[in-house]
Amino acid sequence: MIKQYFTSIKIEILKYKRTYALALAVLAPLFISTLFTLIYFFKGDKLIAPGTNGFATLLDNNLSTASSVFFPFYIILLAVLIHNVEHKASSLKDLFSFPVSRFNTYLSKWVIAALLISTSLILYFGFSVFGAWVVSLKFPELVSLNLPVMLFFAKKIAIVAISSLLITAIQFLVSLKWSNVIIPFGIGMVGFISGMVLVRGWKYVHFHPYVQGYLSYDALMGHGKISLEHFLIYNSIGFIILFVAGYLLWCKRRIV
Amino acid sequence: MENNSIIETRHLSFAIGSTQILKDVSLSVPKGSLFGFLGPNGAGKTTLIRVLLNLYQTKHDSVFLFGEDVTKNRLSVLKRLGRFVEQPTLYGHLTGEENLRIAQSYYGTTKSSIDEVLETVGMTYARKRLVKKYSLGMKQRIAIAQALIHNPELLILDEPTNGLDPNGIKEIRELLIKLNTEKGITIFVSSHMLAEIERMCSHVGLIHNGELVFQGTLNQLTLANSKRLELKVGDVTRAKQLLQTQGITAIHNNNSTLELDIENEKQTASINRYLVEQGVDVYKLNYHEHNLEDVFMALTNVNN
Repeated sequence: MIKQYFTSIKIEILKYKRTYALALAVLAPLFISTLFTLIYFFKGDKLIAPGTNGFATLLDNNLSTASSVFFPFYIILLAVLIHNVEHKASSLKDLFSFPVSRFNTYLSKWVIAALLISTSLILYFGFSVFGAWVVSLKFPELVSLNLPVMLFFAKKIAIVAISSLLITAIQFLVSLKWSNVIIPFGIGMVGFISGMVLVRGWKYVHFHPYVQGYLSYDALMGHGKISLEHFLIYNSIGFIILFVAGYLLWCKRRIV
Repeated sequence: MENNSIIETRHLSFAIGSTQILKDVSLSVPKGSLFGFLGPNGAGKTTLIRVLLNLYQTKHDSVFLFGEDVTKNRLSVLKRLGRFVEQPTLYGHLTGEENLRIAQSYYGTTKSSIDEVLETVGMTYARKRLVKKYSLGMKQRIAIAQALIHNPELLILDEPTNGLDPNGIKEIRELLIKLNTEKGITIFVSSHMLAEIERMCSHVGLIHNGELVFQGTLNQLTLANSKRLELKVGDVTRAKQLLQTQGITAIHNNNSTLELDIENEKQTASINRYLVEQGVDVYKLNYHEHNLEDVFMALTNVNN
């Protein structure tokens, strides 16, 4: 049984060779980190106040943008690209007629999503720290690398990732349900834009799935009114419910 | 169930929404046969194949493969068969070999099985090429290789020659005959290409409007719809009476023509001799042997 799961995961990894999903997992963190590195490399002296921790400022600004705008987009696109590999090849009828359980195939899709997102986050951490080091070469008096800031940065990334479980599950579910790219992407955009509008003043916006990363980052920095635990618990429960719903959908899926 | 049957359906009915696709289908495919499953477009061929593969779920005790109920033993049944449904569904961004590695891993066979099936389908030379750069014929071959990778006892193929040029069709036909005769694989192949089925199959099933209208050997099918003789004679009434005394029923078509069923071509000569000896002038004899197309048209039109 366990061997079968590993086999399925191994197969999924092979399937994502040379795909846009894999390219996205590498290029997205590279893009955002490079962008901030360039900004601070050329304008660091104007953006970092003397006497403050420039290293922390750079990483915080980077993650603040990443958690509010970049990460939701990344999740929306990644979920579409993961499922598009099967939709494009119309391969579900083949997948479901291999001697392997549907739960196995469903779980392996999630494992791939988790692997790709983890890879991105690790790369994001690495590229961001490397970028900060590059900036420190130009402004040694403003930016200096230190381990506690780095570890706190890693913790913040992990919290934003957990707070994005709900949006990940929603996008996974809609990408699984609809085989075209437009509908899941459109749903993601509607969710994202409505979140960005509602975050300006709606009382219950902390339940909106598409701003969880953004608000949890605020809570982590001590800016928000809602506790960090709310985001972690709400996302975990929401994820479990949608994971089960996605499995039921996967099992009931009619092959056309 | 018949011990010899590798596929059996029992009074199988299946509907999608309010549309009844399969109606009381009781199919029996003998082990070792090359079974052609014929039917016009929309007759229910692909639906039946999807039911056999458990892609569409049906009630228990209606579909048996290798003597096992598919709904209860899905995984063990799927391990023993290879399949190709409608069109090759391969990952275009992977090479032919990588696509086969997926099947090889799912079936848990050795890596050398990839080399073997590539050799069988004649695709070794293109194994490292991306599938999106393959022609349709090459994709079909890789898809068939995928179905063969675990040395299955049964191959279920849905329209494997669809979209192929005459050369490609011939190659697939020869491959299937080879797999059936040399490796002893039972092959269930659906098609609407009658000539192809006639050339390669030992057994035939004919589905029309969701109903199985015939199943048996190819010979039984053509015999069941006997050869016909058209006779142009001088005295139609007398000729008809004379034939009646010999136990042959003739139909009076028009003024001077009779039409009758006969068993073989030799009977044409004896009928001619008999009528001439009895003083009936015979002007024209037109022997017509039904091919599969005639039978197919007859059976599908009757049921329309």
